[in-house]
Amino acid sequence: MGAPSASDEALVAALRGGELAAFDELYRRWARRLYGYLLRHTGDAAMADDLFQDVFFTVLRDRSYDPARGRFGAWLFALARNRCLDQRRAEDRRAHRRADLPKLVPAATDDDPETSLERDRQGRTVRAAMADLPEAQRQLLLLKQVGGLTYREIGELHGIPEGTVKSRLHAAVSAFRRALTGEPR
Amino acid sequence: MTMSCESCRDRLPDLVFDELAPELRGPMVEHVTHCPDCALEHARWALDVAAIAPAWEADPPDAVGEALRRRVENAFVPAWARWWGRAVALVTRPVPAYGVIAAVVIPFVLWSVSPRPAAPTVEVPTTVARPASVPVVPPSTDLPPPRVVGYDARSIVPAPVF
Repeated sequence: MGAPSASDEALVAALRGGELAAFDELYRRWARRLYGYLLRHTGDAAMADDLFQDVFFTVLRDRSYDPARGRFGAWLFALARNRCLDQRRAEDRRAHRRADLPKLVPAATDDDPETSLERDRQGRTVRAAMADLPEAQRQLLLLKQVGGLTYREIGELHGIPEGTVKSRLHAAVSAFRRALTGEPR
Repeated sequence: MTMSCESCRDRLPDLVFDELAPELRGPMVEHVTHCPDCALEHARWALDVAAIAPAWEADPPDAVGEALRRRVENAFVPAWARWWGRAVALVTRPVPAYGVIAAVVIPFVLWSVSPRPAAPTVEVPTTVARPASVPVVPPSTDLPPPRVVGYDARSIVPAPVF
């Protein structure tokens, strides 16, 4: 069941049946995306560590998530977004907002240093362009591209119609592309 | 081409996000395939959007991943299966090189330092009594010295040069 071709939902069902290899495959598919999302969102590595474990484990264990009715990725990122918002509200109350973003934990790759440097440079450019976007647009793009949510899933998460998600995402991508190329808004 | 460039550009994000309605996908793909300008625009969109996820991903620390795996194992895998899995892993895990070396060296060292029992002393007679049935034959001096047929030492030892 831990085969790479199995769907996420089949892997969750297998894990709930006691097959630990299914977790390893799910972790391989989703860990980097989820952790990157949480790390960027919270701006705190220790908090991202805690939230990462909490979110991943909760979705796997929570029986309200039925693999037959919903996509694993959508549940994962919906919960991650909600936990991040809760965290942010709590931080706001304590007035301990952090302004600086943490450095990315570099991914272990087999690339030569030149390729790695180039990828790092591209990553910084993209993150800078994303940082220029309003928070709402950035969240939409992240949920779509990092979380892999569909228009419908994003709409359900935000409580807005699918058409609205579509038009907002179009605007977000256009703004992101302008920021990427340095065009004026 | 049944679709206009303007209509195509409006729907490019949906094509890039793979969210296009099935009835629109065919005409869109056909248009992008045949229109160089829209094909270029589509490639730009796709590249820009595809760059977001890799720039946002990050590896969780190993300790976090291991802690999560232990939690998941304790929650989902029955106790007997956990113990069985650990026992199998213990037996089937690869033997490290130092283990093999230790397995060879330690018995040798123990053997070499262990005290050995003294060998029993046996009296060996220096002369052997000849049996009475064997006659005494005196050595013969009539026979020529033994020779090797065809052997010539000059073939391997060169003659001295003066």
